[in-house]
Amino acid sequence: MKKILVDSEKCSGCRICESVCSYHKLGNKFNRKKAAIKIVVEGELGENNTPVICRHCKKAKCSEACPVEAFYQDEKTGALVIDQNKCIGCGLCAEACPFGAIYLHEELSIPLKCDLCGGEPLCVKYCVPTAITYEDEQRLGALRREKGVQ
Amino acid sequence: MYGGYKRILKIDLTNETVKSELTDLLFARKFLGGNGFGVKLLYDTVTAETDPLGEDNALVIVVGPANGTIFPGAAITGIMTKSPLNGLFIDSYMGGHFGTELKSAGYDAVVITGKLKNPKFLVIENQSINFYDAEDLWGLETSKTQIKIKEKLRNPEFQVACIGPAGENLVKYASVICDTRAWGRGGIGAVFGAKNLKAIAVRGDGDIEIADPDGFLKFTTESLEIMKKHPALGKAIPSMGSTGSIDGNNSIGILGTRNWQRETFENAWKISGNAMLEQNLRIGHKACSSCIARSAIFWKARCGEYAGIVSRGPEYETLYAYGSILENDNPDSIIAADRLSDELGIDTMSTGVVIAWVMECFEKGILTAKDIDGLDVVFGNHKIILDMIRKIAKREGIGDILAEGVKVASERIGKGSNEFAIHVKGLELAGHTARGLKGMGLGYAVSSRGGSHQDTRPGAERSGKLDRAVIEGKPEHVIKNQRMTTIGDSLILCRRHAEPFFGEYLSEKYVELINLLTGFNLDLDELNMIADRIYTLERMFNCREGITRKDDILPPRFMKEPIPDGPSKGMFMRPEELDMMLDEYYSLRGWDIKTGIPPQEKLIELDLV
Ligand code: SF4
Ligand code: SF4
Repeated sequence: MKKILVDSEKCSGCRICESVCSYHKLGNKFNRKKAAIKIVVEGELGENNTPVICRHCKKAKCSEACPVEAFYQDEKTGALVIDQNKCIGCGLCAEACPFGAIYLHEELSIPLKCDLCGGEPLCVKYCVPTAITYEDEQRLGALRREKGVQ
Repeated sequence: MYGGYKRILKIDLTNETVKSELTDLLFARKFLGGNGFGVKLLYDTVTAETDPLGEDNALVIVVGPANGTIFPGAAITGIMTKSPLNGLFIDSYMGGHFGTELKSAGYDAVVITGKLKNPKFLVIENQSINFYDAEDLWGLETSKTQIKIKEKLRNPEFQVACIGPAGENLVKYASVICDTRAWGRGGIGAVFGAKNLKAIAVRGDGDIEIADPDGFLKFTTESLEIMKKHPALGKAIPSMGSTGSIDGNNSIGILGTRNWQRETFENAWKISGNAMLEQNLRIGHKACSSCIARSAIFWKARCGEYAGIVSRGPEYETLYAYGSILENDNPDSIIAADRLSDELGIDTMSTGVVIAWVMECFEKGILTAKDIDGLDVVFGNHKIILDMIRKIAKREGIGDILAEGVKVASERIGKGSNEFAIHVKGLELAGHTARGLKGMGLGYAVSSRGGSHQDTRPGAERSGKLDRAVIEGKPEHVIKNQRMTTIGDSLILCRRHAEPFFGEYLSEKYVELINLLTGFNLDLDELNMIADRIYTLERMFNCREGITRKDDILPPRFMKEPIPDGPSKGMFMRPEELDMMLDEYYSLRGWDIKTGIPPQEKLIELDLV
């Protein structure tokens, strides 16, 4: 399975990823508050940016917390996704995710969570500094290792 | 509505009341957004009698049809007011994410009038507008203020634009800081201070819709690819911001040095982006909303008394203002001065020009050490820069006069010191020559803002695309260039993205982008007309304040003293050259040649009466 790899050091906080995500999910509207990826900004001068996006965990806390078993795995991409019809919008999954990678918005009836865009994540396509990339699972951690070995 | 047009919000601070109305589409088509909306709303709200620091002055905050989208550089938020520095029209633009939040909250413009009884901060969250007590924040620096307000509101998603001590003390060139971005010029911060307004926090949840989504995405994706490959935008700026211009300007002898006594600085290389990179001063960078240039670089001072200080910036203008113009070659001191200026909320450009003027006064014996509170304010001495900034921000000692700006300070000190006070219409000059680039010189002279580099741009002449030494064709160039900056400020787009992609003038590409966003189906003629309407209204604002042709001049130094040495040796702006260019400029603009005032028939043509 391929996963989204995050390199916070490269993230500039431009939030294009949030915008394109919402554009895709909402059908041609922009709304960063309705995106399945979020940039968390920290530091005295806001110098640290961290993209927070679903890890598609193998033993996912979100789906474990779901009282109606609305979560299922997409066969093609391996993404853990929410079944619109089953979801009751309680938000327990959002509370359970250890990374805070599920988002709620007043106007949406089901939580927002990354579904890997069917295998071509738009956020990755538009991230100019390549802070997020879409790579084979075994590449997870490789960046750290490679930097460490040097 | 497409282009994201929604509502115009009106806030009266005196009674703490709020009104909002739907944005009229005819108004939107006439003024486009940003700059256009701002100048019209301000013109109609204030009068010639309005005291810039009085209750009746207005602050007009604006966004435009590009904000909140993914068009690269669609990040800017504008603000307009009657400037306390010179009593004229001022518009100031900052990057960051404030604009996206404001637009998501559903507003194209916010008009703020009146005065709060005691210090407060304003919170705009979608349709709810609230005031919170800010007594405990008064006196705080800008980074702490932002952190505290986000804590109070229990939501880090808020974007907080706030003033520091300089704004509270009504320093006439105080800035407003949001994130690490500034509404820097013309004293916006003092207007906040006079209104007892410590900060504005904004957050929004709304959708932004555009007219032709598929067309827009295609246009944007293609634009993005072109921008990524552009040598400046794709490479130089992400690595060193605008700091590369120090070397560039110095190499052709147009880098303001020693209060513009010279335009070549032997030690410029020490404060250039390349040198700062070599010394490993760069520790990270940050982008504005939808920005691909990530030019906001965090630099860290490494040596001496400044070691450890981190600042977002300095960029080119600050390297000029705290570097070359003071003949200061210590990059660490500039990083520290940049940070201090942001924390106190004061414009780096105006402050640097003021300090340079004091240095020259000292050099010429016009001011003595006693007048300057015992500080050794000599060219090249970086050790006094932080002290001077603090004195000005707190209006301590000599700082009290200097806080009025270089024009007023030189009038009060007298003794010929206005001969080397570097300002146009009271606004201290940015770091671009008025002697070595003839078009830029004309651009400064006629700029609505005064000594700003944002109405007319130096790029075409500096790069050699246009012969910088000739005056022929310059009036036409300046007008076409101003049309571009006016529309860019109305959309609202970052210049660093727009210029490399769209070029120096308006073109069909601008028309295409605007139509995709708004569905207005404009053509280039109508877009030119909109640009002229907006710029002429700025001019009318200033004419209402008494500005005429006689005010469209440059500082005496640029019109009398040739550049003494370096590659641009001998260049200056002869008064007769400026006069010839002004004649042509006014006639091309359709303004009265004798007075520089737009006549009635022009106003009718532009649909302004
Ligand atoms: S697009 Fe990339 S650089 Fe921009 S905020 Fe998202 S992850 Fe960070
Ligand atoms: S939402 Fe959170 S818990 Fe669920 S799969 Fe994604 S990262 Fe794991």
